[in-house]
Amino acid sequence: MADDRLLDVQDLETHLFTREGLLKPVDGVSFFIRPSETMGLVGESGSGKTMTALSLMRLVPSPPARIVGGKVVLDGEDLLALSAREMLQRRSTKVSMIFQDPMTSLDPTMKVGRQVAEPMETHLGLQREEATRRAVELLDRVGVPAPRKRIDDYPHQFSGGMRQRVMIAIALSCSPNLLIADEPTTALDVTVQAQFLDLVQELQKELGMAILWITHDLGVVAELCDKVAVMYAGRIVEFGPLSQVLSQPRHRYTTALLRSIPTMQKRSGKRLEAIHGLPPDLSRVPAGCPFRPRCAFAGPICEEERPALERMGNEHYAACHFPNKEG
Amino acid sequence: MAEAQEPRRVVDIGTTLPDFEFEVIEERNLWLDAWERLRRNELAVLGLIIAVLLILIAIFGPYLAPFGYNQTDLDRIEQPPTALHWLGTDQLGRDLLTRILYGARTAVLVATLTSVISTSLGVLLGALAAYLSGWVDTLISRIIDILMSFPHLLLAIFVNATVKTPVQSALEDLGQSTGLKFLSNSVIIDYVIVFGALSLVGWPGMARLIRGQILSLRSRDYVMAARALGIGTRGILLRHLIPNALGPIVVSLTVGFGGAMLAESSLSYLGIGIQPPGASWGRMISESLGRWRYAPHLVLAPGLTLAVVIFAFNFLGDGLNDALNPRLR
Repeated sequence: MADDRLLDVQDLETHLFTREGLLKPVDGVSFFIRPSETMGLVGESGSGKTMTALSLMRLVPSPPARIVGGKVVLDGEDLLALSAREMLQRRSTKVSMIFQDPMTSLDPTMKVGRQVAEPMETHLGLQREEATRRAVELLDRVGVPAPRKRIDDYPHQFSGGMRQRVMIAIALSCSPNLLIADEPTTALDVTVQAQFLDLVQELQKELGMAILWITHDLGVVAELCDKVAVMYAGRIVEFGPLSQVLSQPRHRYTTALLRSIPTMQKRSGKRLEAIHGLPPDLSRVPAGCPFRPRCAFAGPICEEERPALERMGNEHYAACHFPNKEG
Repeated sequence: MAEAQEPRRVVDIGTTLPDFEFEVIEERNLWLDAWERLRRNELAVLGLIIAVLLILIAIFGPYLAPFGYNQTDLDRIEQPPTALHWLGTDQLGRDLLTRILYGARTAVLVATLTSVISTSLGVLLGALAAYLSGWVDTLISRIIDILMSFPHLLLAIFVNATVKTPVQSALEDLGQSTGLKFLSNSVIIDYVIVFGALSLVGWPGMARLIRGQILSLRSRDYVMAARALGIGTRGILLRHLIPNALGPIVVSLTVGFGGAMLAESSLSYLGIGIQPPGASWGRMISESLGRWRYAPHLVLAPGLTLAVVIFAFNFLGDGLNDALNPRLR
């Protein structure tokens, strides 16, 4: 294993033990992120993106979910091997997470300033005054106007975009090495979304944290990320540098996904391509390649053997029996 | 409330510019909002006034009382209201107004201690059960079920009857060994036993309420966000979950306060609560019940007082419920 990896996830498996049976929302996921790198994790709803993120934080809802295997090596230590108390201390200081809905992710009964200060008091042992002072600085940095006044406001006095700025201020308050962002822009309208992406890029340049950006918006990925992992039915099907995955996708699913994006240039009069069918129900994932029923290129081997993630090029991996030809 | 401002017309270019103002924030929070709504509810305000009056009377009653609470005037027994005795006198010639003022003290003291104990116990155990779930939840929930399966008053009577003697002797011993004389005061002992019994039957209801609240709150996004920030169980419970469940806690506390006063009076009425010479409204009613044809004021005065006070707390509780519940954010 190369030691220039900040986060190295190996064969991560998180299973759901439900009354209907065993589900595998995270089924052997592997990827890595270098320091200050931004990785996009894309996939359809239900493909296991969020469950993967929660597994990294060790916050899977248990029961019914349990992390049953794999390694999550962050900064040289396996998070899955830590005690619960040690893991508590890693959150905020090593890895932080921001969530999808800024309207509900802030405590409605707590002043915003207190919420920004809380992790610093908990993890950095700061006194209230010092933590409040830093909270003002942080809010100022993320572009909340008049932060000295706003720290005494409650979340409902903030707009959605401002709340997401507050969320990122909280997440970065203890300078984590890795920020996990679970679709943080889906609840924002597009102008606010663009401002927010700019802010995140600025902050990353300044603070140097790595980002795992979970989204189903390939446009955001193209703008923000250095590399991409594509998830399908609990597995990573393609993983590689942004330019390679977007311009020369090797997996048939990624190819189809990219084709189904409307473009401004081509107005050929053709209908927009769509991937037929639905992603598999996690309780009935087909044997072999999970994408096979929807794949135009599937052969007999796809029914029998689950394709492994194979190296297609320099740090470009895909799990497909019939990958696209290079170039 | 800020009125929507008219767009400012810039006449010379003929365009309309909206008068932009960033960050128009209303200086409000949950409690101010609730207070606004409460103020508009007349019955609740009446309840609040009576409740505040009652508590003031409980604190300053002895200074307001025209007579001693055990001071008898055997020349004036069972007198109707007079200029000297505004509410008349009882069978022993004690001033009824004085007795009622002291009775307020008993009622408020018992209700306060009972509410504080049963609320803190209920909130703590209910929140723990809901947040930790698993066997902790099972254990606490079963204890709640068991305690709630008894009729409240009966359980309180049972506690009263069984633990009174040992508690009495223990407190007397303690009073003697520490030199704290008040511990062996029989009225104090009655208080201890009554509020102990009432707290015991009071907390399960509160615990069940809080458990339900926390169960619904723990799946909120901000709780997940707090966990993602590495806030521990204690911080999440105390800083995030309980403050968000405070509305129902306050409502239940208010209604429970009235309920505890009623329960104290019921126990005393049945002769197992506050013993003579301690003053209790319930006791006063039961003592005078045989004489109500000849001296109805002896029943009427404490009875009406009790009724008014309980109504007041219920109105206030209802008002708070309406004021705190529609949380539209």
